[in-house]
Amino acid sequence: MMRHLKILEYALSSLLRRKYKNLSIILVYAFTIAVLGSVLFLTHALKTEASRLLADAPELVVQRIFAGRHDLIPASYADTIRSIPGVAEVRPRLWGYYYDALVEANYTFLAVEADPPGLTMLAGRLPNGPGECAIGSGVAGARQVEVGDDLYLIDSTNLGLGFEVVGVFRAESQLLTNDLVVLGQEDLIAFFGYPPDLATDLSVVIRNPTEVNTIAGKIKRLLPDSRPISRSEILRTYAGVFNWRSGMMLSVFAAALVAFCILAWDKATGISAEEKREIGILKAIGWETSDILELKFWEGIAISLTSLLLGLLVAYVHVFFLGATLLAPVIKGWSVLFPTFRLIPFVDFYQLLVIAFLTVTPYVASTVVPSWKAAITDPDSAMRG
Amino acid sequence: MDTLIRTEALCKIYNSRRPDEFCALDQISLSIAPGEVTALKGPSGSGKTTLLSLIGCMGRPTSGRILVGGKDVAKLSERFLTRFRRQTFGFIFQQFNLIRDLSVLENVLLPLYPQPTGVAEMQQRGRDLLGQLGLESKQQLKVKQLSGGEQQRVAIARALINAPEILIADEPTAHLDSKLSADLLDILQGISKTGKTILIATHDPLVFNHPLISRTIEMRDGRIIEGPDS
Repeated sequence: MMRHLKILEYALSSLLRRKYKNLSIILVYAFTIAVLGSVLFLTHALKTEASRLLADAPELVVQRIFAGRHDLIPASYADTIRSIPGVAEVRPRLWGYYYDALVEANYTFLAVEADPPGLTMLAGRLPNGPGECAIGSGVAGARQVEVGDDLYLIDSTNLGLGFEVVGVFRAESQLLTNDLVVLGQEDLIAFFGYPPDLATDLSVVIRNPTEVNTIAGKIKRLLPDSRPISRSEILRTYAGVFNWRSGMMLSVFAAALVAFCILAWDKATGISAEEKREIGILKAIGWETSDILELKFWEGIAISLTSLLLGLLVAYVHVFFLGATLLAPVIKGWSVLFPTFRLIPFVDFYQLLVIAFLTVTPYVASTVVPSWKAAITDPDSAMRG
Repeated sequence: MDTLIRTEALCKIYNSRRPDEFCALDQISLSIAPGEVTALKGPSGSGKTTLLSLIGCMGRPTSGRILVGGKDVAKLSERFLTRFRRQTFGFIFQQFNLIRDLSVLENVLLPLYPQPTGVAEMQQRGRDLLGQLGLESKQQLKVKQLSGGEQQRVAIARALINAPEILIADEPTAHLDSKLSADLLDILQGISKTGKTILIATHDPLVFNHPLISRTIEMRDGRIIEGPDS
């Protein structure tokens, strides 16, 4: 044990002696890990947030499909679905999108429900009368309005309408609420000019969640032009979208990763004449090949673990404290209104292990292997200077 | 006469079976008694350093035997050879072979790092040796801040840190002026009085004419041309 500790101590002092070279490796190495870590942290946090938010969403949403596209659904479909055993409640939902030419942003409009899922955290309150609205903080920021102000919007007949802001969403996550405008149901029908007895979709509450697929099948049979979408399918879509985006990001980043690998390989494997001489001296004065390999192993571990921790720390601060400023537009993919990130730190330790394995192992190997070549030569060369 | 080191028909060929094949040692047989101070003298390329490195277990002969304390070292595996070398030999190299960015004390302690000796004991041994060689006040200085003579003394301290039985010095005065060379020989004389066996390769008359030397072996072209076993 004493022997290993002393070799470790020598390894650390060796690194300090070549501090500029090692510092430059650590910086580039940590930067690479920081980018990699940021992408993975952000993707994972977004996926976890999406699933947290959707935990409150209905088990099943039923849309109507016309010519392969989403169409408004007759409110009478709700009665048909309600008659299926196992269905607890069917609620027509009204929502839509709105392009605000003033700030060139898209908003999501939603008619207020008695018990809106996932929208419970409010500053102010939900609208409960005509001419009122509650808005996401992204909308509030874009239009520079707050509770008590009026929000002016252009309706489907090209008339300007004012809505009093009675609440601003300050949800724990802004993923779903950032671009949201919630109006009273009558206001929303009038604003978009909804035909009577039509809804955007139907939310279905099921008594036993394990029966979701059975009930979805029954709905499809009874209403052939409907499309039941289960919560797990939405979650899968979210995960797929974020994975695809992070995959694209990582592909773009792959070039930088390759550049780093070349640099690390060059720095780590290109043992300088000075280092070769030192290995020769150590061999000559009685160090075994295994001692030198252990020394180089500790050096590699110290560099790569320091870089790994530094990189992960930077990634953590970047994603969870600075709102992933550099990656948000790519991963998030919000068309115009980017939510100000206040992501809850979710870290997947399996991912950390993968990053550690993919970065530490090759670096340590690329440090030890060339030293092994130098260490197995006869110490006799040291005699000859 | 007791024999501590014996070589039998020792040969060393570099770049064997290649156009630049070179025979550095040819049929070298010699015996060295414990406590003896032996000078290997001869011009550059005569094979002195090669012979020292083979006796010091730093390389393996092409043919022949090397017996140190009755043990045939050429047959030892790399690991045992290294351990044997560490326990038996101390080396003073022509180029000093110190690590310039390390302190004097750290350089002296280097051979002890891969051994189970405790840190406090290591440092005590290092300080004692540096004290004996007049370097106590310089132990924290970097080696590159020292003069040539001081670096040579650091190299001697490092060679002695393992308390080896045999001290091997390759051209130890090559980079020293006459005064420093005389000082070095005085130090070696002191070490010899402690009973250590010393082998010195040199072509410096100051060394092989010094009263410290109990035997001189002259070499040329890889062969012994003058000495008891020639």
